[in-house]
Parts: sequence; structure tokens; C-alpha cells
Amino acid sequence: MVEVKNIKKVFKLSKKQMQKDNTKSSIKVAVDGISFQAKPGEIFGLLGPNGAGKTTTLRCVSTLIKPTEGEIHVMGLENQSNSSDVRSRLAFLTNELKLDTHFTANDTIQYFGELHNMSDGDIKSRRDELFDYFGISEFKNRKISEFSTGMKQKLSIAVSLIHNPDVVIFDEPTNGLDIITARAVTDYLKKLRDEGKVVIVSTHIMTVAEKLCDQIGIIIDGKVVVEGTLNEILDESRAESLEDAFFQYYAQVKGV
Amino acid sequence: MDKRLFTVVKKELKRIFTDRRLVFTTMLLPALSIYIMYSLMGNMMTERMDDVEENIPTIIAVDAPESFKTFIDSDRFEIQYEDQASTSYEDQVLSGDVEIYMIFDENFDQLAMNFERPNVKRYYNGAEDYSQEARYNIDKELTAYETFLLGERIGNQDHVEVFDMNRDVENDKIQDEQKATGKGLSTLFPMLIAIFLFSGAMSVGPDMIAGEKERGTMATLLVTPVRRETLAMGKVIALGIIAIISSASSFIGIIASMPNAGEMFARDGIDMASLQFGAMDYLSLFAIMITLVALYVAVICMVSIMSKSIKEANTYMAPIYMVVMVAGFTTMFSNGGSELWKFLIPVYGSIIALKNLFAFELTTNMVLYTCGSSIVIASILIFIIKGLFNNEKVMFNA
Repeated sequence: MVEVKNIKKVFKLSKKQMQKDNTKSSIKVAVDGISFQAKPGEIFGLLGPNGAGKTTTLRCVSTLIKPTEGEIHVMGLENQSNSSDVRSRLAFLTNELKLDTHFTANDTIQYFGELHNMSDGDIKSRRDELFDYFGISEFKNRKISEFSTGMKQKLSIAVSLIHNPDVVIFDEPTNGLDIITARAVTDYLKKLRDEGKVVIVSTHIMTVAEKLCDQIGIIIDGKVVVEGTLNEILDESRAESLEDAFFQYYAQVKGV
Repeated sequence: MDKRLFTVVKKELKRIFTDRRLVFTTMLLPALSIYIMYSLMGNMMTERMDDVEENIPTIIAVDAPESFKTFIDSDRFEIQYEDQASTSYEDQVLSGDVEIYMIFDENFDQLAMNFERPNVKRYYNGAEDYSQEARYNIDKELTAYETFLLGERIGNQDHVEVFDMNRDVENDKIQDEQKATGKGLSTLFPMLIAIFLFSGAMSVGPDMIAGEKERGTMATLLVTPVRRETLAMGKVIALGIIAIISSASSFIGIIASMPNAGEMFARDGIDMASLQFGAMDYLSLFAIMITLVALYVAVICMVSIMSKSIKEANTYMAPIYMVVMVAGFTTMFSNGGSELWKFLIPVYGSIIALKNLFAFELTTNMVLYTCGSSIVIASILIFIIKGLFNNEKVMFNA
């Protein structure tokens, strides 16, 4: 289980950033009191526009950055004081995550397996399992530079999941992917859910949230404005689709 | 110690050693370029000097007295005797067609014998090697000619010589050959070592850290359970190993080029065969180099971490490289002194320690001061680097 309790993340802005954002404030509140629970065996989706605070929230959960306020527990562990243990039970994937194209798929997965303190035997069996699922086996000795974008993405997922984590966090899972790779990724996330993993995804694409997520939290300006299943959100908002519901909440927050 | 430290080091080294381009530029190119550069310099310098020395200079002599015509060795100088001075002769010196232009006073012999101190005007071209060498030789010849005239004055050439210089002395140099050779080497080698060590680390450092940030592979690493301190140290150690290999390559290049470059050193009285370093010298050399590498690597890693891209890192690196070069050049043309506080100055202290080592004047205190200083500063920088790896603003531009 992942429990996020009232987290807040404030960034200090440099003068250059203040000019870029056209603001006089020297701070930016990226996340403002977000709370949610993601349970094993379900996919929790954070849905929101760009700049809403989705990635910052997920980075906080993944221990990559520290929240300014609030608490996060991952599988019962407080994530700041146990960051290394939390990272060993969690995978954080994003389309921005890239692999060194100089190495082969085999070299790369071996390296990350070793960083997760896995034995050679465990790395090999897990690697074979992941490579078979993603159809990488026949390319495992090729350099990543020779891989297509889709293959690179699949390898990134395989590398991130080498340690068979309990919690999988995926920031914008289908962003920039072709339809076939996107389907492979969403299918795999469903498989992970069926295996009883905690899966958290962020997306700004309504259809992804509708089709993939068991629980959805709509996030606008760093705050979760509504949380529930798709039907609960539609009932509460009396909207016909998630997109309509989203724009309703967006108008309420922004006052437009 | 976390065994994953070695996993990180191993991966970084594999990254370099399996990249032919990097292997060539960091390990082979330094040796190759130094070998080619020094060999060419040695050969070309030898050829040029031999050519200048073997050249028989053309001299125009106006109003040359009979005594001079008789005295001068016509095999060594090609002399064109003239009766009238002319500016066209100066033009010939200027154009390099003639090496020396001399004008003797009229009735030179008579004036000399009557103690009236006649004059010889001697012109040469300072921009021409042949003319410079000819001036050196003709001046020696004129001194000998003056002695000859003195003998003529007093009627006996034997009475001109008042004393002999170093008669029955086989070797007039009272010196430690090893130390003298070392002194010669200490002018150039410390500066080269300091620069090669830095350039070796600089060639891969930005790619190892700033490159990972730029490519986005750093974030992938940071989500693993490895402590960030371990990741930082892994990169620092790997970069240190590459820097040492790169500088060793430069060293091999220097040693390999010695036979060809030897002529350059031989003219300064350096006999490479006389150099014999002891175990303590090698130990000191190793200690100074390894601590200097640690310092360089720490600086390069810190600059790389703070940069968002390889280009930005290289931009920051350029002025630091200049500082290293200036430190090297300042020690090249000074004796460095022996005040111990100077050995505490980062980089400069290490270079003057190397200078003293080659000159066989290095003391234990000097080694302790310079190594201690480098270790302390590198440790502080590594401590900061570890902190930077935990700094989300630096690592994620957050």
C-alpha cells in the first residue's frame, strides 16, 4: 500500500525562473496538500493537465525529491527515513528515463540487477521472464543504440522492474509511444495489477485513465479536487464522461 | 563497504573501454601525439642545428687588411672582398643572401701597428639562423685575429698567451651528473605531467556525469536503492582510474620519444642514462601524482555535477584548465623555492614538488605538505559532491 498524507512541495525560484514564469513570487507551490491511498491489486491514476503537480507528487513518492510537508508511507515504510529500502521495493518509470545506448540490453539489465543487490541467478531468471514478455530476447546482445523507440521503452520498463518491486509508479505511461507499444505497456500494467502489485500512473490523457485506472484522482494546481472510481466521479459530477467531469472541476478551480 | 561501489566503477570503466573512440582519445592519442610531436621536434631541431652548423657563411668584407686575408680560415668562411662600402650589401644581409657584412677602417694594419685602435664594423641579421651562427663564429675569429695582431705588435706570437685555461683538466664540471640531468628534466616534466593528468580526466569527466544528466540516464540510476554517496564515489574512482591510465599513456609517449627527442635534451647537457631513481623517489612520484589526480577528479566531478550538459561542463572546465596550465608554466621558469607553505597551494604545490623530485631535492616534508593539501581539498570537494548528489535542485534542475 502507498499512503500519501497531505504532502506539500514548495520550490524556490531563481531570478531567471521568476522571469520565465512571469511571477514576482520567489517560491512555487507545486503540490499543495495532496493525500491519497493506492492499494495492492489496483491501478491508481493521477489525472491532470501539464504543470498540475503529477510528476512532482510521483517523484516525492519515489524518494527522488523530498516533500516540504506531509508524510508518505510505502508498504509500511516512511519513505524519507527509509529511502533506500523504499527504492528497493518500488519502480519509478517515466518516458524521460533513458538508458545508455552504448550498452547492450543484457549489459544494462545485469548492471541494474547488481545495483538492486540481486544474485546472478536471480538476474538471469527475471531477465529471461521480462525479455520474453516484451519480445526483447532475440535482441538482448544488441546495443541499445540499434533499438527502435518502442523497444527502448520496453527495455526501460524491463530494467526498472528487474527487482520485481511491490509498487510500480509510471509517469505518463503512454506519452510519445506508438499505439502498439502503448498497448503493450498498458497491458503490462494490468498484468502487474492482477499480480497484486500497487500501480500508480499519472496521465493527462482521459481515455488512458478511463480504460486503465481503478481509482482516479483529478489533480489541478497541486490539489486533488476529486478522488474515486470512474463511476463515483461521474456520479458526483453528473457528467457523461471523464473529460466532461474534468472540465467541470477545472472550471470550478480556475473560476472560468 | 558497499559492493555496489565496484559495480558502478566497473560499469563506468566498461563504458570507456568498450568505446573505441574514447579508448583512442583518452588512452592512445596522448601517447601517440606526444611521441610524434617530440620525435618530430627532436629530429627537426637536430636537422636544423646541423644544417646551420654545417653552413659555410658568405661574408662581405670591405677594405679588409692583408693580415686578415692571411689569417682567416677560408675553408670555414666564404669571403667576398670589396673596396667600397655600399647599402646594397646591407640589403643582401637583410634578404639572407649574405650572412655577415664587415667594414674595416682604411689602412687597418698600419693603424693597428701604430697603436691607433682601428675599428671593424660587423653587421648581421638577427632574424636569420645562418646569420646568427655566422656572427658567433666570426666574432670568435675576430678575437683570435686580435690576439694574432697583438703578437705581431710585440714581435712574438708565443708571448701573447699569458696563461692556459684548464691545462691537464679532463673534466671541469664538479657536479652530480644525476642531479644535473634531473635539473634539466625538472624544467619540462612537472608541467607536462600536471597538464596531461588534467586533460586525461577532462576528456571523459563531463561525459561521465553531465552527460548522464543530459541523456537522462542519471535519473534512472537515482531510482535504484544504491546510496547516492556510493554512486558519487563510483564515478569519482572510475574517473581517477581513467585519468591515471591517460597520464600513463602520456608518460609512455614521452619515454618512447626520448631516443628521437634526446638531441633536444643532449644540447642542454642532459644524459638520460645517468638518471637513476630509487624506490622512495618512485613512491613519492606516485603519491604526488595520485593525490593530484584526486584533486583534479574532484574538481572535474563537481563542475560536471553542477552542469546541465556536457557543453556547459566543458565551458566551465576551460578556465580551470587555463589555471592548471598557468601553474605549470610558472614553475617551469622559476626554481619554485623551498618554503614549505608553497607546497600547500593546490596544483602549484604538486608541480613544484615534482620539480624538486626530478632535481633530487625533494624532502619528506614537501611530500607530506603537498599530498596532505591535495587530500584535504579533494576530500572537502568529494564531501560537497556527495551533498550535490542528494541535492534535488542540482540533480533534477528542480
